[in-house]
Amino acid sequence: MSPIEQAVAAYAAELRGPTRARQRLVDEVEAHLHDAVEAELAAGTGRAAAEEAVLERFGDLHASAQLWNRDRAVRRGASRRNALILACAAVAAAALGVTQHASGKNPPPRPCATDQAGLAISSCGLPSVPRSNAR
Amino acid sequence: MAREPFSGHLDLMLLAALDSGPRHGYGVIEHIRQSSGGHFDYPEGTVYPALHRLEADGLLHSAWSADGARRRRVYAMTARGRKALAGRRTQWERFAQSVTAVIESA
Repeated sequence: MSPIEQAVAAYAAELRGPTRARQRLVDEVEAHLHDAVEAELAAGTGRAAAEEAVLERFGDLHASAQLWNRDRAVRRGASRRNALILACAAVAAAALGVTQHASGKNPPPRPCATDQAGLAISSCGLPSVPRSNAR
Repeated sequence: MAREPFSGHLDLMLLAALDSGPRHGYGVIEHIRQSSGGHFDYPEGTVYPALHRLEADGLLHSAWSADGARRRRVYAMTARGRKALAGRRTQWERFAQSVTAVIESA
């Protein structure tokens, strides 16, 4: 296994998260390292020196993997928080609706009065306005 | 040349490098290195997590492109990315002008 292949394998082992997302990053980094080695070889550098130079320029593989892991963890945390806030808001809205219904402030829709042909003959579907609120 | 610490401006550099057209990660890094005259010779491993973050923020989009035998992920700016770049450019220009004013007044 070449130093580049070893580095890619070590990088892949450090990543956390969904397989597809990890594989995408690994594929990108691998292509990057190969492109950089080819550029060094084209400039006349020997393979061993080229691979060493490329890995040196890439920097700390562990730090790069941790950067990606940390960003994903932050996003996952934010996503969970948002889901929790939405769930709390939905529960609160449902509770408010039940309270209003029970107090008569938000009565259910009135049934339609229909004639013999089944046509609506009175306003319906909307809750009736309590007499005390009507002006 | 010594590596320049410029992590605070990495997003601006990446967006600016993609302003002229789509590039893959290696192309972005080479563009920044060459256009800065080799000044920004930083750890390349920091670029890919940053590109992924900018994409997750909706500032970039990317797709695989087959170039010969090797696949490369090509990044391009979104409309939101162009707007963000314009804002960050303005911020940077104000900052640079302020620093210059202070230095020259000393």
